[in-house]
Amino acid sequence: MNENGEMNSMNNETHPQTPSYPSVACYGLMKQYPGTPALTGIDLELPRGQIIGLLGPNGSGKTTLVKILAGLLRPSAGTVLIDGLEPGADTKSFVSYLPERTYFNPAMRVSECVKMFEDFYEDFDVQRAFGMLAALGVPYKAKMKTLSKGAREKVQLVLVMARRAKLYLLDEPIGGVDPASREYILNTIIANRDPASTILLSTHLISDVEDILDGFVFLGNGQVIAAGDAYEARARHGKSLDELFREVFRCY
Amino acid sequence: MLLKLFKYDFKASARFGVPILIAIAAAGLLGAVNTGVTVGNVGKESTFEAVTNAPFGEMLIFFGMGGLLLVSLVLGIAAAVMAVMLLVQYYRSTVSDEAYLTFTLPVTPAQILCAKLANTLVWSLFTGIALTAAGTAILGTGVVTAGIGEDFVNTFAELFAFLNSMAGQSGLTVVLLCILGAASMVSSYLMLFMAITFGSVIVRKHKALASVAMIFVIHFVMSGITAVMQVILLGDFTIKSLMYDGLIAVNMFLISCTILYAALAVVYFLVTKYMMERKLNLD
Repeated sequence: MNENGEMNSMNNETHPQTPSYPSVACYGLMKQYPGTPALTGIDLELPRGQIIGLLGPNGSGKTTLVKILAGLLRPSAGTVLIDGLEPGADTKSFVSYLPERTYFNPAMRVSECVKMFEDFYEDFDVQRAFGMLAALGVPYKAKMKTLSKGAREKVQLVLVMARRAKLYLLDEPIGGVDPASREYILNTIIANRDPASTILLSTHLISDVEDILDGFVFLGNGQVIAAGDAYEARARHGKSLDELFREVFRCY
Repeated sequence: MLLKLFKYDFKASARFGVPILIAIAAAGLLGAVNTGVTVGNVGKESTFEAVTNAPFGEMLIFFGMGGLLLVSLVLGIAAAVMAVMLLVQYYRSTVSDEAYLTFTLPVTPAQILCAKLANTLVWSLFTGIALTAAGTAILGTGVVTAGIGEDFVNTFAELFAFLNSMAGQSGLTVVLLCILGAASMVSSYLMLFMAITFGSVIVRKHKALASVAMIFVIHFVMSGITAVMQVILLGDFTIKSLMYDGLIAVNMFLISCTILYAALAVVYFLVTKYMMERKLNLD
């Protein structure tokens, strides 16, 4: 809920053919780790077709929320719906998730990773993937273990973004990379975004992503502190999201 | 999807499985050559000793038996390494960073578990076949070199003839023994999978250590429980053996043990599936 007691939802200019329910909906969502509350009651609706920044300081619950949406964690209480469905094998077929970790077997070749995505995901665009890999100069036959950490992360990002998914969950995609790579990653996200798909981008590096965000969710101590339209927030407060973030999380 | 999961598990296992199978084949070949040379030189002591003045008999025993022991050791280690590597692969793909990929594929935990079990069984079967082939090569070379091939074949023929004469009773027993062996193997691997998964969900750090510890703890506990149940079944078998003739009591005992292992396998599977669905604890 926002300050006015309304659901944290953002404007959605709904296409006549798009379903009426939100891309992501969380109601009373809670996650409790042993001895540690990670999410303490999230009420949130994310519209379709937007790039939304999930912004918060370290330990605010961003990764936990993203993992729940990706179907890797079960909430302790509350409801989560992705495209009207509870996270599971069905939603995984249209949710494209980029975790913080590099997850491919180091012995696999890049071409094998591409083939694996092609085999498992019906929405995977192999031509798009090879195009992006070629632009990156990544040799297809190279084994993952021979690539640098940055190159492995880029391969993973390419495969995730080469899917025609309904929802992209990108957890700290620019967290551990150099500024030049950050630019490449953000350009990749923008260039490959499908107007109908939603991108939830989790990060604490707001200044780097601010320009590409349509919406934002400020998460602190497992709660939604604020959420809304990025352009509207900037216009109303006369501040950038980065400045607003620093103001909101000063005491965190 | 199950077949696709199996395909990628199989390919991942092939990276270590093929070299291990090659090592088993090489050890079998070396063992066969060693046996051939050793057996082929039995009785040539006088010629050799006359030329070299070396204690041929002792050398033959030392190199022949020592070589055979070494080959047996290599074969045993290869089989153990295969089993350990299959479990390591399970750990890597369901607990470590690779689990992020495994559990975001559009498949259910039950499918993941089935694919991993099938892969483990297939590679165990390959290992069994390779070990049998290596053993047969070593034994066969010794038999042929010693010139007792005909006697050997005759002995086996007599054995099979004896089994055939009992086919009415023993045929079913052999089949039941095979089914029991398969149920026991499936149950064992599922117990190991459950132990690894359980170890990874109860701690936040040192998951590998916790998984290994759980393998020992759960194996110890389940061995005790299984032993008690088998003693009960054995008591039942003793009573039935007094009631029925022939192999009927044996067959009933084998069926009871198979049901026990099958029931345990189902429990292990469901517990592991539950943990994968609800208690996943990725870093």
